[in-house]
Amino acid sequence: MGLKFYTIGDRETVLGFSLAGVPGQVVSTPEEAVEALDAAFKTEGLGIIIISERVAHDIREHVNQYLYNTSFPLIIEIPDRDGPMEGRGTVRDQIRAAVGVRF
Amino acid sequence: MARYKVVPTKTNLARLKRDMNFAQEGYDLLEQKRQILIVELMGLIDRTADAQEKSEKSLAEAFHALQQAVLSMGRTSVTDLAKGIHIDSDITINFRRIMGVNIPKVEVEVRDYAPYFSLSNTSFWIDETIVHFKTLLNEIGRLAEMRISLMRLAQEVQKTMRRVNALDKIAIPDFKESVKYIEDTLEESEREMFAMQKVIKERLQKTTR
Repeated sequence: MGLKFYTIGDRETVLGFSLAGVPGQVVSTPEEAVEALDAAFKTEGLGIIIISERVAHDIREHVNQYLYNTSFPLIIEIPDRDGPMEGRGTVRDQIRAAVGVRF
Repeated sequence: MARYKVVPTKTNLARLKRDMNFAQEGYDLLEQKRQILIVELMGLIDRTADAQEKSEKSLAEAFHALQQAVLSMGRTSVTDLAKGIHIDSDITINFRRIMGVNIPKVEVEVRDYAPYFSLSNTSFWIDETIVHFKTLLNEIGRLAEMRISLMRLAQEVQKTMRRVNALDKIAIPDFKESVKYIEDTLEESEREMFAMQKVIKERLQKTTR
């Protein structure tokens, strides 16, 4: 038995992934998102948590706390059906912001 | 810059010099580590950017198919259908270490136990959606691996840079200053000693004459 996927996001994202057999939790407020994320991290057997970018953005601090301090499960942020968030920047920008150096 | 509080003796000088060499070696090693990490990071950034672009495109297609499915069948039917889907995905995550950083390696295996609904009354878009999201799982697995690796490497680079800077800008200059202080003081007292010896010598010669 391998590890599983789990989705946290808006209605469309969760529905989409549920069509690929991935369970998930629809969230519409930051409070719900925090709750869902905490619950997911307590669930055994999860390998990757897919979270909508916009949802993750609303609870950035909370997500980062998990992202930087726990090695498991992995969190991956993906755009929702409206596409990537504006002003998100490229991977390069994000890393530059994190490291504080130019490459 | 601050000088260490040391008594200017030869023993302390030897000890300080030894510590300074140690700091210098540490600096060289950390600097090497930083360079290796940055090379890793650079390669990974490009690959991640490519993978991200690709998966975002697939994701857009997947959402488009989903929207069509919802439009043609209604949300309730699609949600009901989802309950019957029997696709199993297994993730295997292994960690390897680069320069003390835990880098995940993700394998995704998707098993599809089709068919799980009757073909009548279902839209072509439903099948499309399923195929799209199914393929996405693999891409997301790979993307997750890269993004997490990238983040951890970046974090390590930052940490290493802080240490390199601390050694380069604080520890090593402090050592240099302390060593210089002791050397100067020792030299000064040697000169004093020499002068004193001369005076004594002259006086001795005067008295014996």
